[in-house]
Amino acid sequence: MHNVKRQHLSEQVKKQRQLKDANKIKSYKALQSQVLQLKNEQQYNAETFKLSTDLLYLNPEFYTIWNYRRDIISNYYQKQLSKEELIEFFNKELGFIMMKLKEYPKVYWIWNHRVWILENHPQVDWEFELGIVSKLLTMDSRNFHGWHYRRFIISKLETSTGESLALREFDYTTEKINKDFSNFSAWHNRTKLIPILLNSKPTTRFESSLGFLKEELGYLKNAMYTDPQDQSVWIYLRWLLTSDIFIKTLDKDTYIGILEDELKNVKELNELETEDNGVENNWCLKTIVTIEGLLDKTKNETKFTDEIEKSLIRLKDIDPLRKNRYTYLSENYFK
Amino acid sequence: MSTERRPSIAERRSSTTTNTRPQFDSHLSTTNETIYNDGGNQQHGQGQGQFSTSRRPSVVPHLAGLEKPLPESIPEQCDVVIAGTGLVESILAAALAWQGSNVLHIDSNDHYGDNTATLTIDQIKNWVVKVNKNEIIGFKNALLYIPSGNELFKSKDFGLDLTPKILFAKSDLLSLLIKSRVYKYLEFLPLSSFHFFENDNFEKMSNTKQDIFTNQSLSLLTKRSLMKFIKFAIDWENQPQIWESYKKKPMEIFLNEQFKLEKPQIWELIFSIGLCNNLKINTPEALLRIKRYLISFDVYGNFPVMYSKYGGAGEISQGFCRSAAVAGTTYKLNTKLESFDPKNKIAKFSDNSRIRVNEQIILSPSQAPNNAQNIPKQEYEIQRLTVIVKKTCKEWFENGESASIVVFPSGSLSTNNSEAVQALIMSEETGITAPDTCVWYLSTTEKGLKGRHDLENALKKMENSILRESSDLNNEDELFDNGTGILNSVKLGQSFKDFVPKEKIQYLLKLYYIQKTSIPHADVVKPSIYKKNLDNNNNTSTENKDAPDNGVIYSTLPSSEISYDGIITAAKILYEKIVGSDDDFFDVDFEDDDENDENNGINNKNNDELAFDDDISETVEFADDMEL
Repeated sequence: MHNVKRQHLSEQVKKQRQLKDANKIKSYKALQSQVLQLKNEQQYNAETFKLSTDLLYLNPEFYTIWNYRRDIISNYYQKQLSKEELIEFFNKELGFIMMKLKEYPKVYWIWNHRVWILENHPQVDWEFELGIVSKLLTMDSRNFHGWHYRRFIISKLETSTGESLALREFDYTTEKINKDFSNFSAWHNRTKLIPILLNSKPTTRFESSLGFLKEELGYLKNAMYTDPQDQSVWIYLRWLLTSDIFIKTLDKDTYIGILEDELKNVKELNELETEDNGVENNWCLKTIVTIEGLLDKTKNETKFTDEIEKSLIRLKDIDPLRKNRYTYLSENYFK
Repeated sequence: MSTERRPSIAERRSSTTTNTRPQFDSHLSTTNETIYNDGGNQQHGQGQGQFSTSRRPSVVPHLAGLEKPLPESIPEQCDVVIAGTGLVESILAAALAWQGSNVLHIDSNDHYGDNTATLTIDQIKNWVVKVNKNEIIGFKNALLYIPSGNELFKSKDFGLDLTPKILFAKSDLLSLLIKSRVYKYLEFLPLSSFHFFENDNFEKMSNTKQDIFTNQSLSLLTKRSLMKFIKFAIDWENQPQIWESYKKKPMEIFLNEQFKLEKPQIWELIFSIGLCNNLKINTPEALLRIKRYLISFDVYGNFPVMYSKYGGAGEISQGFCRSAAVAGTTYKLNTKLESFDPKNKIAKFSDNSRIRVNEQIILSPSQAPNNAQNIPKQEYEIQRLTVIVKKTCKEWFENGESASIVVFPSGSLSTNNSEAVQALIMSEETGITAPDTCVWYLSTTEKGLKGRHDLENALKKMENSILRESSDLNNEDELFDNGTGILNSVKLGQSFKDFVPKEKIQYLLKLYYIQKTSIPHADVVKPSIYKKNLDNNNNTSTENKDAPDNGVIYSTLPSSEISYDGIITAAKILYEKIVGSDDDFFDVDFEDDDENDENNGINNKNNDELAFDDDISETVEFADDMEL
């Protein structure tokens, strides 16, 4: 976990803990084999449901048990309960999941289970779910489970109202990025929303893909200059320059113009970085290679071949961790 | 290494002291009961969550036993007498008491805190009279103005600090508050608004990556330089190649030459983030001050600074006195040292009692006996102007907060000030003032009449600003930043040159005074100034053979520093002077049963929040869509 100090325990304390844990492990193992046994026997009833709760309290990562729990719900509760009773049951289950999520916000199976419950729930309050996920993203704006879940909720809301929420969601990503632009999830969500918005053109901002692209590149330039080491910015830039949504809507010369402007811009920043740090910025250099490759490909030329080759050699030097990737790139570049 | 060291008092008397140290939690049942009568006001059950930002009913325990120490007779002997219950002295008393020394802690006042006290209005009135009769060393020229018509307010609604201070979230005092568990007696609130006055405007600072990224008025190159400097400043000590040639040069020059920053950013860094007094400050000193701000960010939340509720240094010193009392220190207020005879080590007090002092007397200059001859010269001055206004001033606070800082850098006032004026704004929620009122603490290190004019001019600017900002709130769209929807201080940034206020600020109180100290301004971290001070006092000079303060060690009066920096350093140096080493300064292991408390108080906040990074998994998700 980030930001939580690891506890260094002395040998003695470790032994004490182990002793204390021994009993816990024993009862956990007993419960586990009991539940798995019942699962094999396809026992679906209130008693087995409770046992699955107990086991998931101890180990929420045990996805087999979440699967069993769903089997119990569909084979027992969904058959036995009236609609009213079922609503109450599902609401209770949502409460249980929420409790688990607060404790373990990064466990896939808990999120999965919530989605499944909502899909089967006879009466879901989607606005409430959106509120929950917004709260979660306020506390940890980079939890990608949260972003994924958010997209799920939004699509449900859109289906139920028939109205697109893309613009509102786009503004939401802007808000999150303004708070901290080292946020892959927010940029990523942007890549999902932009094609929708450029299609539906809800405001003048999305009238022309060229206008939008230029505005977005300006926004990104701010981030590049503020922190040239932040990789999320460079990866988003690569998406903007290579996405079909732009390539297919811009005419070739305009696209080439954009690439050339951006190449100049990144080269300038790289020079500033070199001047200050005595070494090139590897993200700048990688991006330069990418843009030069795109230019050659688009123009069907080999103008930058030598320069790319040289850049890749320098990259091996300043970014030795990825040395073999650069070797691979230069070997395969002209195939 | 320890062979050179003088054995500590505890070591020398180990046979008698080993079982006298009480447990932290059991003070009601130990021998301390006679001295420290808690009056049934046990507070341990409330000791959690003091770092939360939520409001709770009075968390600060009443120091019942301390407010009225039992008037029992002073014991026959003790190890250390400390006179003055200011913050440094109170920390020292607690440190010595927990180390095992037998401490008698006295104060000539009828309240705790001495020159760092938090006072009610009635206490302020008495204090002003005493200051102007020259009865209080360390303060002079007090002026008090209380207009009539405010009879509805009670004196006890207010708790004004004589030396208001803020606490950086990463600082030695905060660490000690946690380690000593004294934080349990206190409650802290966050402060993140630092306003900066320039060209008749209040500017909001850009000091985080987020601010720099979203600030429309900064050029791309400035953004880059500023961010580069901030990254450097966090680790500046390890990069001497960058600043060493500027060791004796002003910070202003360094920032301009090495980071190509320009005036607005340089000013902001030096005056707001660094809270420096003027532009003369040298590079390393300024870097130290800027770093403390930067590393304090995000320690407990999105703010660099905290302050203790219900009063600052006065509250914290009471907390330490309480801790000292728990460890066996005897307290006696209304008691002044009359004289000390270094030969037979007998101290005499104003109530005619006497005590044999086995080790040392620590004396605050403010507590010096009549006719004292050895008081260190208090050559530095701080001018303070404290006012209470009938305004909530919420326009100056970040959402959910109740205090802010306004800095008037050199040359920003109509008086063409050369020293900065710093102002700490505290509203009703800070627990120091009545509902719908606000305290403004202004201070400057400028000397003489000029300093007073600077303070008055700054007050005028603040008056105009708050009148303007609170006058046309119907114009709400101005308050929102496009896109982010975050409340920002667009309005603070608007010039109010043409603004003619329709109303006047109403004051409940205006208090002006000069505070004196022997600690040079902005020089809080160097131990040498204390050493020199101590050495001076240690030679019982032949000239003043009969001086009543021969053989005592004088502590220092509070400095001009707006943070608590330097306080622990001072306490440690005095401690070392008495014990021989500061190795065991608050080297206390509290019982393990408090382990959970600590988790509840601070760490649990993290656990409750779903705050973990996930860069790696994010990359995977993103890369999927971004394949070239």
